[in-house]
Amino acid sequence: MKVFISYGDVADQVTALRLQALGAVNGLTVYVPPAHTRQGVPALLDPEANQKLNQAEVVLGVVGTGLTEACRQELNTGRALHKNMIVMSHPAFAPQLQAYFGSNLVVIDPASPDRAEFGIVQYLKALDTQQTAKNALLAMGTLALGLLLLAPADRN
Amino acid sequence: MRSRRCTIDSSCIIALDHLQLVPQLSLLFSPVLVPKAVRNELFKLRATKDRLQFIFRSYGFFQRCDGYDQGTVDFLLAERTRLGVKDRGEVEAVVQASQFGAAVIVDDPWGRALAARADLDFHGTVWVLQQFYQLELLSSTLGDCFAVLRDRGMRLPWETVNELLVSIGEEPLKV
Repeated sequence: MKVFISYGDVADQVTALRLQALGAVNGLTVYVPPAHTRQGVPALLDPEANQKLNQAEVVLGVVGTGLTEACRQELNTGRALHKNMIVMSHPAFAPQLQAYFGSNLVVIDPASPDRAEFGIVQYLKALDTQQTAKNALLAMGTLALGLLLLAPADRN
Repeated sequence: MRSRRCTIDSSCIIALDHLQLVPQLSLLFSPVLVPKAVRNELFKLRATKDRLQFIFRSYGFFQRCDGYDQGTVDFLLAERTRLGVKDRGEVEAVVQASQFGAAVIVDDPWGRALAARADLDFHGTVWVLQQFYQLELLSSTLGDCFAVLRDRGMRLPWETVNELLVSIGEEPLKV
């Protein structure tokens, strides 16, 4: 199972790398775009990222501290390719993402994290795809939820 | 996940890079601060220069850090120079860690002693790999990881390595 993790900005990459490490030992092939893709405003999607997006069966968006143009392009490409995807976002970025990702968006409110977990489960129930893809999304989404909820402690 | 910041010496970067375990370090520490002297040491050889540049381009949690007391580094380095060693990397790693309240990842015995004198939280490559093993992040056995480093000529406390391997039921390495 190939997973593409699109992260909001360079500070979110550490969450993506942790997910990659945890996913890899559980049989997932996880691609995380390099940090340099989050510098500047790229006109086009990074070619390697584009290739990995095409190959991915699952796309996970992690937007906790910022939303860069590269992340926006990756998520839009994933959506255009009809990938199985969940975008997990801090409430601050939800207004920018809601219009594009609708039911794919899970907003993580630190005050009520259970709603995010409920959102993941509801989304997966409605998703018409293979069980393996659902399992991958559930596992990575739940891990991302935990990491994003606890991530603010890293920035203290 | 709460993780601490750390500074890191060149040998640990080389070891983790050989094992393709640099991104996994994000589960233990973030950010990882790389002192200027460590960068200079790695920039002396084309191969390690290219790898360090790749690491900075790829992983945002690896950060350059230059803002620390050079006077303290020079003072401590004088002691080091008397011993006939000129490497400045471990000294800068320790001084930087002390200044930023970070842990130090250092293998060099003198650097570890310096970190202990400064009452810092310090660890080496062996400890990092042990943590990865306990977190089940390794795709091969711990012994295989250390064997790769041995075959690459890395200087590690092999007696400690073998004690660790025996404690987890793996065969000790022939060193």
